[in-house]
Amino acid sequence: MSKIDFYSHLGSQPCRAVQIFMKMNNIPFNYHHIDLAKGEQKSEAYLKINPLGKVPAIKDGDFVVAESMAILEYLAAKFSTPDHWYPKDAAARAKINEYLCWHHANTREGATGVFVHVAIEPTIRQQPRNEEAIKASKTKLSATLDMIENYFLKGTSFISSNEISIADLLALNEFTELDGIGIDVGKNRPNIKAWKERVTAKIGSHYDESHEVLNAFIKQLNLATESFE
Amino acid sequence: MAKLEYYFDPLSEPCRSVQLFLEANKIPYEPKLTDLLSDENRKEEFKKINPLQTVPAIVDGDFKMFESVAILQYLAAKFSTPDHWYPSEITKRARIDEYLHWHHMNTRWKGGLLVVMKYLYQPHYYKEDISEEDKKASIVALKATLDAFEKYFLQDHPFIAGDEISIADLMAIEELIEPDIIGVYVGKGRPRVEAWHNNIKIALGSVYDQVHQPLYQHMEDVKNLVPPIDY
Repeated sequence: MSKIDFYSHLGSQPCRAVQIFMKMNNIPFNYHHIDLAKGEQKSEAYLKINPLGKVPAIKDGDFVVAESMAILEYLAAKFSTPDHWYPKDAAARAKINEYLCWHHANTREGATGVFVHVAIEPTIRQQPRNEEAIKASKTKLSATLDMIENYFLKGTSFISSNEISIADLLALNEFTELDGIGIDVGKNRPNIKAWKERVTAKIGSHYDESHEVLNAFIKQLNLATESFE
Repeated sequence: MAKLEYYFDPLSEPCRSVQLFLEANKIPYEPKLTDLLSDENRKEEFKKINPLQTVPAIVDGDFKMFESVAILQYLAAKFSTPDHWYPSEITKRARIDEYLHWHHMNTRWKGGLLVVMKYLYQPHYYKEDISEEDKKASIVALKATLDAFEKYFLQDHPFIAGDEISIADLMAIEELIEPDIIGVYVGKGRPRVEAWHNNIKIALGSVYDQVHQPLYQHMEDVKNLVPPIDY
């Protein structure tokens, strides 16, 4: 079986989730760095591969898949990864899908909102801190975390399951971004705190390796720790 | 087998998507009307069904879930519906999954509902002040979504996945025909979109109008509230 071509920038949360999944499952891939800062994702060459102009994307022979969740679902099926990653049982899979659907407008929107307003706007975009937007995004993040704490992690060690799945990789990587600005989503939420530790432990050595780019990026922004309850 | 309980509001687009699937596949269900405009979803009893308090939601014996896309995927598996709805072949499935995941922050977030919110629901139901600028911006957003939808997903196929209808079409069509409520038809000037809409109507037969009856009634009720929009 030939290697998967993986188009990625490890500053991106969904890219990290896909990379970690492939590494944990020993799926061989060729890494292609897409320079987002230079707009490479909109280059003619890249648009020929993924017309949606985003990362991550994969190419399996001639077949291209975009959208991180579709990529993870495809890889789980193609490489027959252990069932817990994306269970075949209809009800168990439905619970993971329930989270994946909710993730877009909630975990991703909530975490990215805070990160962009706190870490990107005042630095890269050279805009003054928008305190109103920061407050609103923290409120959204808080509501998101409450739902995860009280529903998705209620009575289970991982999201809607007692075993790790693709849902956990996607969620965790939204939160590791916040770690970099001093926001610990597990601070006042014991289920999330324990879950974060569990998932990080499962990922093992692939964690640091996949976070090098993000950590270096955040370090050079020289930001103060951000408050969050 | 006890009947599936289906919690829905026929004026909610994702609720119609799931209902079209239930009806088209003759899956027996007990309809549980949950009226959003009168806050029935905010009641304590409904919290027990879905702690997120959104529709659609289903109860299948001991099993409960929400999120329309996830519900459709579950129903297709549980009721072993014809393969074209959600093909098991992994490349065909990946094409549909790509659309389904893109849908949330695009068709749903920046589609028909946004336009109806700005022109009708926010000013007339929630009594909010919406500027002309905001209203026009929603039309711009809808057009951008339609451009992307046609270019990447629909292309020249009869349906999103190719030659046959799938759950992707059910999700997309309900968001995109929503602005019919205020006289904005997304098929205008877009022959591929119009053809796709007609293909869906043909594939669903009488089920299409049946599920849309409450929407047609709603359109009658509000038809004089919004002046004609330049689209």
